[in-house]
Amino acid sequence: MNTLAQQILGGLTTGFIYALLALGFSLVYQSMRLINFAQGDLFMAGAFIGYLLAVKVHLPFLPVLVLTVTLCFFLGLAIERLTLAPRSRTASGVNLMIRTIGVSVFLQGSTLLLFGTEEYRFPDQLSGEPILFGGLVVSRSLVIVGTASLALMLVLWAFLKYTALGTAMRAASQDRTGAEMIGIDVPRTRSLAYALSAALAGAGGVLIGPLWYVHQSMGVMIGLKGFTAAVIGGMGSMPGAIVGGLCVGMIENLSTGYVSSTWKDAIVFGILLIMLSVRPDGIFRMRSAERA
Amino acid sequence: MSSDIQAADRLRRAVPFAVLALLGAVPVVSSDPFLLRMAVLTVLASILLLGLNVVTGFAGQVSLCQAAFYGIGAYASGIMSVHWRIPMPLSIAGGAVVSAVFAFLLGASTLRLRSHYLALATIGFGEVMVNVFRSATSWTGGANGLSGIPTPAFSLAVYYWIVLATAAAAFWVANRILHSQVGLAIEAMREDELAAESVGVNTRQVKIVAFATSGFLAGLAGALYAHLDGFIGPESFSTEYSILLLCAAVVGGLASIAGSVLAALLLVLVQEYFRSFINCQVLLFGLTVIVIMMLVPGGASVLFARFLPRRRFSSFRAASDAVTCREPDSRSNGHGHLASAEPKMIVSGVSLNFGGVQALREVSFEAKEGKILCLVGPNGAGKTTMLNVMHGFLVPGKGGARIRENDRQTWRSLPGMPLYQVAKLGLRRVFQHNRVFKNLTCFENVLIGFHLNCRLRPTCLEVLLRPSIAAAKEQSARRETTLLLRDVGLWEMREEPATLLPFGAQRMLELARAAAARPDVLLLDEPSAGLAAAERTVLVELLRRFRKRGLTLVMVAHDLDLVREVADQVVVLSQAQKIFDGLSSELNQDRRVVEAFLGMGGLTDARS
Repeated sequence: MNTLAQQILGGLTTGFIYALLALGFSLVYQSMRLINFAQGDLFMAGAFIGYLLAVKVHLPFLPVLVLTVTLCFFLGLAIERLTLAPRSRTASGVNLMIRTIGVSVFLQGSTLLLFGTEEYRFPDQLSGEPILFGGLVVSRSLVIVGTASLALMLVLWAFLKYTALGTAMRAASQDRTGAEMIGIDVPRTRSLAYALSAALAGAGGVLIGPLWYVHQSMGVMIGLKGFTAAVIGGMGSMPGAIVGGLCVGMIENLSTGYVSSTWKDAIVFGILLIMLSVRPDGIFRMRSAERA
Repeated sequence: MSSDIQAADRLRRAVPFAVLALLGAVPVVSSDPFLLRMAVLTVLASILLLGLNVVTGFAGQVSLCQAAFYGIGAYASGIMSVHWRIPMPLSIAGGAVVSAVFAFLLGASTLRLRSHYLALATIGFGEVMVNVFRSATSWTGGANGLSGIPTPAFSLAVYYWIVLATAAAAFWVANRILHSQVGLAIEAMREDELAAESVGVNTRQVKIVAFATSGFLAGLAGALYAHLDGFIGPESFSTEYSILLLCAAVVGGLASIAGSVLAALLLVLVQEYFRSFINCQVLLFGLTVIVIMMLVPGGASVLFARFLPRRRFSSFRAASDAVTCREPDSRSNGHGHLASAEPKMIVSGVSLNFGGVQALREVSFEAKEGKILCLVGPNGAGKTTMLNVMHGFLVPGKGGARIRENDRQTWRSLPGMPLYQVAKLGLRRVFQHNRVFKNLTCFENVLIGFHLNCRLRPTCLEVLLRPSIAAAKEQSARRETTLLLRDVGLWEMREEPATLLPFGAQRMLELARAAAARPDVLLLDEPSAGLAAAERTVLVELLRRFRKRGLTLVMVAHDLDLVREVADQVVVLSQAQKIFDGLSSELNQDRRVVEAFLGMGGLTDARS
């Protein structure tokens, strides 16, 4: 029993990262009806930015996190303005999706150019004695990653719920034409959504940096898993993204612990396939089948 | 003019042969094994991309696991020859078939999924397969790859020619099918599933077959690849490669067969650059993709469209010989009295609830053959719901709707029946919100109406094996289409995509499409809403002509003038119940009808 609980706990750290990415996928999908294939690479960009700030500038953890999130926000903004916004009104969904693949390749390519394929070690700012909690060992990184991600999600939620801009964003995601008619600058809300999702991905990168090695292709698998989490939770649902992320993290850790790490990905994606064929709209079903 | 067009047509038809000849000459010109291997890879990639184009470009199902099918074909063929010593031609065919079976199963289990959910399911499938390739070590060799696969005994040049011939055959078949009316049905499904289904396209079948075909082609390419080097490793079949393939397919041009070839060329060039220069090439590739998508959203094949075989059904050839007017076929008893007409559809005791709201309560009526029945009533009375029940896709809580089959006296119950089968019974529907196939031309939009007509639409086999029959059928279908387009006044717009038409014209186009099917029953939902005066005149004329031909029409209408002009029978619904069923001339005298339309009491105090 205890080992099971311990296994589940072990998966939560990565689970929170998946949740951050899933939230980003969800946000962009809601606002732009777009699957952002660059999400994982923005995560990678965040990890590298964090690495540079921590190692070259010697900043402590919290400023690194805040600065990286801000920088990733602007990186996302620039990407949206330069690559997605031009001629987006007439572009099909697939067209925009391919553009994000282009962005993904571009980000990987530039990292390759700057850093090569080596793995980089983050300075260990987070480690310390694990905390004992009712017979369970809770690693310090889980506490920090969990707190930081939950805090970010809370800020995002408050922003969407209580600010005028957030409300405008939600309106624009429901009905573009309607929102434009009442004077909402929809292109701006789209840029904002993309930038916010980039910020979330960047935060994920900084938070996971100290636990993993930082390298050029680290975003690929993480991006797919984040997407999986978003769909399991139900695209467009905020609590769904969090639950989905944590689920994927837990399943992954459980299958590593009880089956074998070589089959880890097959199990995660296999469960996903089964779930999709049984419940095509995710756990938190957003819309019912539409006809006529 | 027409000779110019013919010359251009002939030129376009020569292009594929020229390309084939050019490719075939590669080993003659150079014997560099590196170049030859690149050539083989390019041709293999073109098969792979053709498969992807079938499922994503034509059928519109975003697939992100093409590399996995490539891998399944490669490993299946490799395992067959390494572990079981099956001779090469058989193992190659086996690889393709195994991959097709996997694709069939994936297609069948993801039928209900749309857009991003499907994209994810395919990613998931791909990841599972890569994991299997990497971890089922005893079969696949695991991360070290599977080696010792027999390579051909003959020279690389001969192998290249075999691969090229295989590809040419695949492209020939694909070109035949996809540019025929069968291909048109696939594209119609991509544009609007529900509308395609209601013209008689079995969309589930089309989707599964599209998946299986794409799996077959990918598996074939994979099997040929396995025997090229004698070695395969799991990293060649990753999801990243699938994503890259989709990227290439879109950049080359979706729903374009020639686009697959362009994309293959691009892909192999990029991949080789990837390998030889690990610096700014990757970065440039990303930029190129973005820029192409911004500037040429249709993909590279659009740039060469003038020189490529036409994708769209040209109506030019039909223009000259379509002058004779069609005979109105009078199988009808159109002029008889309402009471003496035979019932064609029977609605009996239909009750239906949406949650707590009762949309229909115990509604019964008969629609008589060759008559126009109008469903009238205030907003929210349940008219469209009634039509949905009669079309089969809403299943009422109680009661049912039945249609009498054409020649027999058997009655078929409609609710719950798949829409393409409803279409087979001769029942068609014109929707309230236009459901034209937006990116198909007007001509194609009407042509698709013949989908169930075996006289006017060739089957797959006929397209491939009996081209003269297929051509004759297509020619007749073109002629009919021409007439129909003239009828509704859209002949001038025939080559325009339907999405460019104004609202009223789209409605007319949909009417022409419905008429093309020569249905026995036509359901219409507010056909006159939003029409200009001239279009309304055409509509009334059309409705009368339909009746004259013996069609049974059931029409939801708000426009009471239209009802007075055309209706034989009027059924009034109010608050989910039927309150009137009779001749339109009696409508004004019915107290309950006046109440329902003018509010309680009406003009005179009808309550007293």
